[in-house]
Amino acid sequence: MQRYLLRRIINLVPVLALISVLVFGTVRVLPGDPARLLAAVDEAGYVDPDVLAAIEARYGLDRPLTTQYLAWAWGVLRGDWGTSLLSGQDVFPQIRSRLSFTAQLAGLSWLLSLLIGIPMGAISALRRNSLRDIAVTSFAVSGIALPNFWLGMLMIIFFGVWLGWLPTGGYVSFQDSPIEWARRMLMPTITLGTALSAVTMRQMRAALLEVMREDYIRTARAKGLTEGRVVSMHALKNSLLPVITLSTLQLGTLVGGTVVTETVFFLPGIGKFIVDAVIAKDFLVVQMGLMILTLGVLAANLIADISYAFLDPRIRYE
Amino acid sequence: MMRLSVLRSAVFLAAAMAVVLGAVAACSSAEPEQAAPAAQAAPTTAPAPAAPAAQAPTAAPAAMASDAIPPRAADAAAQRGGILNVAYFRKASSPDGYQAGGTFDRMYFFTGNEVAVAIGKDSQYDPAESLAHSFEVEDGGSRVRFNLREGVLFQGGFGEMTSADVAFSFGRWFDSEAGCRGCPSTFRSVTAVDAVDAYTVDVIMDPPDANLIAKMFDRGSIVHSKANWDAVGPEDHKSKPIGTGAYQLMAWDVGVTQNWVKHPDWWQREPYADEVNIQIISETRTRLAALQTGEVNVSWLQAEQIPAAQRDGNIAVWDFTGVGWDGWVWNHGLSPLDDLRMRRALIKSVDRGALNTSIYLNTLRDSQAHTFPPESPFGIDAKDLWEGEYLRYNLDEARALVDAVAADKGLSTPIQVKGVCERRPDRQQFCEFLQGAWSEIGVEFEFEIVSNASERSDVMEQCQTHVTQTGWGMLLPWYMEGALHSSSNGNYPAKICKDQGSGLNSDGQAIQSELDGLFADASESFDDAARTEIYKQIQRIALENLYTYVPAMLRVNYVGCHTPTTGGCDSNPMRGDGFVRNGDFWLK
Repeated sequence: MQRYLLRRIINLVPVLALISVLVFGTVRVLPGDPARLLAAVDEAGYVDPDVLAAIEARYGLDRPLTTQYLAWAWGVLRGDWGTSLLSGQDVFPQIRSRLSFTAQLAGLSWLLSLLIGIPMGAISALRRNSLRDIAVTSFAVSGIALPNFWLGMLMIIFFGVWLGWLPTGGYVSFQDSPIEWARRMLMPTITLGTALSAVTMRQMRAALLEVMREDYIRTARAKGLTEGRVVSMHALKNSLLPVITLSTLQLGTLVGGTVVTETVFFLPGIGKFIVDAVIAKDFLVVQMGLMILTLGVLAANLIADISYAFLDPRIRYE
Repeated sequence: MMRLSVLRSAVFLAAAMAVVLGAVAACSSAEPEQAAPAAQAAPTTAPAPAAPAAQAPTAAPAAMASDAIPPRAADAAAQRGGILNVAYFRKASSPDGYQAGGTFDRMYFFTGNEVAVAIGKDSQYDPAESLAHSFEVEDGGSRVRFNLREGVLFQGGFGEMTSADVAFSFGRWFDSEAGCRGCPSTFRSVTAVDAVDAYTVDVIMDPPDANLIAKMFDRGSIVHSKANWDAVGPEDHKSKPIGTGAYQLMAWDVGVTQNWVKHPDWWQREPYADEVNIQIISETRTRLAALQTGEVNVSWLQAEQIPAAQRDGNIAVWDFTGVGWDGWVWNHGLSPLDDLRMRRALIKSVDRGALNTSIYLNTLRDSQAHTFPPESPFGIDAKDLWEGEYLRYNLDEARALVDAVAADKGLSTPIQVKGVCERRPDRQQFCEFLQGAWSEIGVEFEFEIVSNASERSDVMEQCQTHVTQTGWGMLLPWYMEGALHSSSNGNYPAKICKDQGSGLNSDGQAIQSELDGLFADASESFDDAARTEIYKQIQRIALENLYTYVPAMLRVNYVGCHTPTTGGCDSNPMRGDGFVRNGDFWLK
């Protein structure tokens, strides 16, 4: 397993190098000149050519693209992620703080999706075509169909404005106030977790239905086990394997998929940060943000692969 | 085997939980980078004043004059303490006012930045809020002497403000990269800024510019600590400015919040709130919800929020007209817009009332004037043009004008007009509105969408595009130079496209000469009333000739206060620039 892990991690190096070229290239071919944006005067948008030239020279934008790429890549390898064109602040601490926030939101939503999706999926599968199944399946369809921003907005109006139970948005760190942190994370977590739990529930339902048709379930019943023991000891655990591994993969993409929730609840996450940077053509922020998200997806893939071996003793990586 | 599997599942879930909790802990320790300069080497003494110049000041002793114009007294009802929460609608560009990029950024940077000459609610110089308690125009207008207040302390222990700080700050007019982007052009007549003594600064001009004070009202006369600039450097100053204002920037989490704490030694009075938190809430419905619940005390309001805010008994909504316009800029050097009849037709086909209703929810005003509303001291009443045959909304008349132009120029209808618009809902809708309106009169309007103003300008500078939909902040008459003067980069036919095949025809050149002459007269006229009249004349000529830009709608700025929790909202808190100062509000 250790050798397998090492090999996978080494394999990440050329993948990341290739992705860095793609990210760099994509950011540079996007329409819009960051130097021009920086040099523009207010809404009028016009630019003094001398100012434009000075800004290009300052940020090295007047150099060939290959030189710019190599300078950026070398900087990243040395731990210098550069500074934001817009704010002049270092990119690294900004990404770090936002990434850790988004990890909280994504992680909590993911856990919520498992906590809701797995039992509901199991109930739905075990009571197939019953009223409960219809209710749970309806929830799942609604959860998938309901746009995040709309659900978030409804919750803000209902729990924030009408009832006044929860704050409408914003973030307070856990360290500053655990209770306030929980109050402010609740609605975003539910907003993001609802759609995820609906997907998880569908997966769980399908997996459990599949398992319940297996021979060893029939054997277990033939041994005289009660239905409860058949489900809990034989069916449920086996059906969890694909659900958890697929959910792990979802976690990777979730980190970059929180932008709508972050915008609605004005939260300091990485998704909104990158979108803002794209709009502002803050290219160093965009490049590093995309690299980090890519790394997150690759890491989630790796964890999913490892979890196969961890959860299913039949699988061994050599 | 199954038990082992259950155990592994449980371990896996526990590990996942640990990852989440780990992230929580990591985030708790990974606070946004502090912008506070507290850890910097704050000077223990004030920066040394510049050596006195040979010429003695002609004004009264500064201390006496300063005493004569005390700062405005604190509101009797005001309470102290607490955290004032202010909502802003988009990512802030820089808390250093010189480097802040947007028109609306005044909403946050005036929290801690102050100016030598401040604009009052009447759009005039307000000495009570100015770091220069008085000024004199000398040497036929080629020198303006600013008398600074004594005892004004910078935030963060950076000592007393002296002429050295003011001269340094004004010196940033000439640094368009790390200073003020538009300033080299705005202050192009300034040749020197001299510190005469510790509390006197001279601005020398050649030629004289009668608009100097008006040009300094905005961000142009912000005073920052030179010692701080020397300590942090130009790049860091963007996020760590030290001013003299009521609040000092402590943290700037870009795109999320700015945290300002009170400057206990503020020269005007003890600041009302202990802190001001400016939160970036880009989603309009959420921003309104936060204001409705009182989580936010003061908020910038946008069109779609205003009706609901006005209906809410807990929200006071204030507005200010005359801070700019929305409409379009055109390159009328490019055929067929070089024909005035064509320009008239394009205006006459636009129902501005419908435009205001459908896109701006009636939150703007359809202009009956030019750049400034008729009731403004700078505005003209141009109802005769807008409601008369010349410009009134009438599709038949507009169609006839288009047909006449097509016949004279040998063009077939529909006549092609190219445009460029920004990827922003209101601006795209505006362009779609124009497209629909103009299609009714035999004009096919094709526009491309770009992502921001600089790209829009870039397209126009290729000189192949007729029209760009836009809007500019124009607080005072001298701003009109930026679009109407022949030296302006915003004047496409007279400057940018002059040598690219779409310059002005002979009629256009005559009008441009007249406008340039009037701008020159205005900049030399130190009589405020006479100068204002010249600017009115300029607006009339521009409107009659539909020159360069069409201010179809006049902008109205709106701000909302949550009255149960917020003081300072009983009367309109907006200054003459259409923005509030966060130091005016307190928590009830």
